[in-house]
Amino acid sequence: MMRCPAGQTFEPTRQHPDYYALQLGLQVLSGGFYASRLYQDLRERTGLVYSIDARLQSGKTRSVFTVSYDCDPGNVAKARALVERNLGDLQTKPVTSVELQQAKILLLRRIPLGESSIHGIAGGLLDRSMQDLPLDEPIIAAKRYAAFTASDVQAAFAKWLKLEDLAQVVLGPNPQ
Amino acid sequence: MKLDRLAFQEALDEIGAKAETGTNFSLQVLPERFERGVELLADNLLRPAFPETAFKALQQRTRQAVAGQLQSPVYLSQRAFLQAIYPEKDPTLRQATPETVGSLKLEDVHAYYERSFGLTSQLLSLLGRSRRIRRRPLLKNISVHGRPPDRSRRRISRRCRVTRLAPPLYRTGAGSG
Repeated sequence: MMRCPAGQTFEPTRQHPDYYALQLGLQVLSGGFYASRLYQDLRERTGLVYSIDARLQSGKTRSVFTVSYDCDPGNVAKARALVERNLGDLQTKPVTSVELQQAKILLLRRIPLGESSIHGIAGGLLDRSMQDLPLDEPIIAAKRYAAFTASDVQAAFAKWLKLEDLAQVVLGPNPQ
Repeated sequence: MKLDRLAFQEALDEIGAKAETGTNFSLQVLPERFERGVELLADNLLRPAFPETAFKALQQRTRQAVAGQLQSPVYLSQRAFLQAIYPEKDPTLRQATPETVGSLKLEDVHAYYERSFGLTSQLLSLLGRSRRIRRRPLLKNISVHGRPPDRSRRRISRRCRVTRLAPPLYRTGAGSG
């Protein structure tokens, strides 16, 4: 089994307004496990990968976007091609209304869950202080998520994701 | 007080508290034991013992762990990925080696701690029945060294609680998709 992370740095920081549109697009790509585009395309439809995940780690100065998958050595390049096609689709076509609604639900439900424990509340307040975010940022985030349209998500990915800059490292036998 | 590891844990057990120390420190304690809990936590943070024997044991253990890590395929692939996405001299790319760990002296640890764990830059979030908690001991304890802390508190009102607003927002979001 090969571990294949591919990624690049993004200019938008955690404070950038596009962070929220990018998060919505990420949910369409790999949020909700089997319900996502990457899982359906690379595992369900083609059986190229065992698992796949897209992430955006955002900080005060920059972000890192990654897509990681586990596959057999013979599937590394084929899987990469499908990943690129899915990312390209996100940049050129609006997501469907069902996908957008599902992505919003995933992100909005996470907000009250994040406040369901003392540790969650205290940790959230500290995190927001350290990231220079308003203390009521989850409410601001919820309002933003609720208002976004499919074209907002498309515009954010078209603006920030550079497919030609996607670096990849492969862990395992020589890939094919 | 300068309690060692075991004495510190015993003192916490006496008041049924749970504490974590380091860059991210925390204290979980009943309101009536809050003052003693803060006293113990503050003492640990302000006057860490750093005994020579513990330093030597940890130095040796870290040196061996780093030597193993530098040959680990998982670590090497993660590092290659970071090298691919970050500029050449990015701070993220710094890495410890057995030599750099071995060259450290206990004074280096003290100096680094003084420099990096400055309590004037700490952020505290306090949750619980705060009306029953007197904050003065907390502020007194953390202002022992260096400048007194910024005592301003950022507040969010009860109305701003996310748990109350999220359900209606969720319905709005689902409908506007």
